[in-house]
Amino acid sequence: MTSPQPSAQPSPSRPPNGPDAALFDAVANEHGVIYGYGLVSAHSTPDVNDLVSDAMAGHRQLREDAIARLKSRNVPAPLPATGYQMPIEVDSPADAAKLALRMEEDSAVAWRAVLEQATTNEDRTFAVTALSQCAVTAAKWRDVLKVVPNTVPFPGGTE
Amino acid sequence: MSKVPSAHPAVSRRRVLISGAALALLSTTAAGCGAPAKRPDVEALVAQLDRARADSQLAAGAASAARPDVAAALTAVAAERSAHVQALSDEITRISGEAPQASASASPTPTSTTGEPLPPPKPRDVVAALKQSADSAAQAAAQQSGYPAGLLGSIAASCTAAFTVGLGGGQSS
Repeated sequence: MTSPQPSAQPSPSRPPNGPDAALFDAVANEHGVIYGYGLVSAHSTPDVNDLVSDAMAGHRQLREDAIARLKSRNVPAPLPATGYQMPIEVDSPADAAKLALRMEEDSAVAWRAVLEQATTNEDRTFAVTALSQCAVTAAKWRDVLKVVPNTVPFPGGTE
Repeated sequence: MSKVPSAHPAVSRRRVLISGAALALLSTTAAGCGAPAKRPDVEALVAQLDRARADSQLAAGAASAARPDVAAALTAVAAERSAHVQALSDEITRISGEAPQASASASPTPTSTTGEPLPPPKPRDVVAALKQSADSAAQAAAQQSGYPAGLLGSIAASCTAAFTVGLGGGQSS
């Protein structure tokens, strides 16, 4: 996971539990992922440009959709941190791909938590779409990294 | 960002078992004088289990006739769908107290059992089946809650990744 570094602006506090907390965590995760993709982009070779920009756009969309959902319930969304500590050091295109894969896998975990905590069909549908999107992008990064097979049986799960 | 709680690990296996047992007790008491009603959540999981088993057999059958690189991807799909069979079977056993019938332990037979020498399925047949399974699991996930919803969501995501990336959308058929 990317970890936030202290921000000047105090972020709204996390709801104690349940669907709002899971969605809050997913937004916080997406903030870190979008930040991280900046780093991935900086270290990637041109042949993965499309993958990087599609993935980044996808995560931006998920973040905005999730923030809108929190807003509609009067739950303040977390703010992006000033910076993030990346789980691995990125110094090459291969590192960049590894970080991207890690972030997709972590995002799948966050979205599965949203799915399990959700109390409406509509929220669950949204979470499954997000989870699937992360699984597809993760598979594409495994292709870049030549990981075989490029798919896993339980994206976001520990089964 | 530092931690993302999942509903599942927070609940111990024992607690799930106990609450499952309590639920089972409750439903038998509630259904007291009526015929034992089939639980819709269990039925939904059984339907997904049947799909997973069928997809696994279809992918294994297609792998036997595909060229090596495609065969490897199809074999991976077969293994993933088998893993889904196992996880669904475990969950059905946990919530209903009994293992699903048509035994999940029965090993899939890659060849047709009808005796008719059908041509082996094509990779595009597997892609089509996975597409349907992804939709079906996603719909089932939306209608469940808690851990079963999460499990079905991961299965839907796995099927989607398998047909879009793993099998490349069927271009190689």
